Amino acid sequence: MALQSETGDDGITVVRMDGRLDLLTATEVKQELAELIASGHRRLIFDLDRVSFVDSSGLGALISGLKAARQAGGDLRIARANNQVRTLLNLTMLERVLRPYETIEEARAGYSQIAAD
Amino acid sequence: MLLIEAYVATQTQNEGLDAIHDMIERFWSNAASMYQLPSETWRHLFTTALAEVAANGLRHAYPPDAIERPLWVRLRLFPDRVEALLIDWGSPYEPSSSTPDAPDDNVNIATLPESGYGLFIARSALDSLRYRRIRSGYNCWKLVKKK
Repeated sequence: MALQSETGDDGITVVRMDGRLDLLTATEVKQELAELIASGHRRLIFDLDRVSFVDSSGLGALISGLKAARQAGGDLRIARANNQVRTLLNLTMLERVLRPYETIEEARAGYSQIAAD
Repeated sequence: MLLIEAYVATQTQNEGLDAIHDMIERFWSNAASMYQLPSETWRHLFTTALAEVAANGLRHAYPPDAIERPLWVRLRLFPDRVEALLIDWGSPYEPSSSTPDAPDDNVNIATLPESGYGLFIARSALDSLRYRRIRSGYNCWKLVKKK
């Protein structure tokens, strides 16, 4: 498993991984996100605190997770991205759809507008 | 005047990406200990571009089932710029017809592309990205980012 996940009382699932989210790990991450969403975890926060580097394949996995979550009526948010990840989001203008939240709490706060099951 | 130079030669996809990340990290650390570099963001842009071009060569230049995916990388720091040269021995690069559009304010997430950003990212992050097919059978990519 590339990802560790934990679901709180509020039904929000925080997903974590270590290392690089890139060509070598993106396929597995995409698959695991799809499985989480398919099993009903549709409100996700991807904690990037321990992700050292993201490339275009990694971005693809996050976009794929975002799409699947939205289709299921939820969302995927990212939190605690480092400077490299922010630089990448800015360069691709994907920060418009994957807004980097400073903290898990901030990402969680915005979720109150999306009704839980 | 060349300030710092580093090389790495790798054989497989996994080894290749790991080695390139180790190399660029050491390169920046050496460079920062000796010279004044622009911002951290400047370094991230170059590192991101390098990783994209390397990933592109490692993944697309060789047949899908190839285990051996040789790649050679050289980094050079000059007073006014940083350069990388990447060589792979795969098939010639064929530009894809479509590059994803940047999302606008009304982006439809359902149709957002999940791939194809790689060389677009590299070009946007650099001052120049040049490709040459060398007749004796290898691909050569040159990345330049000015200070």
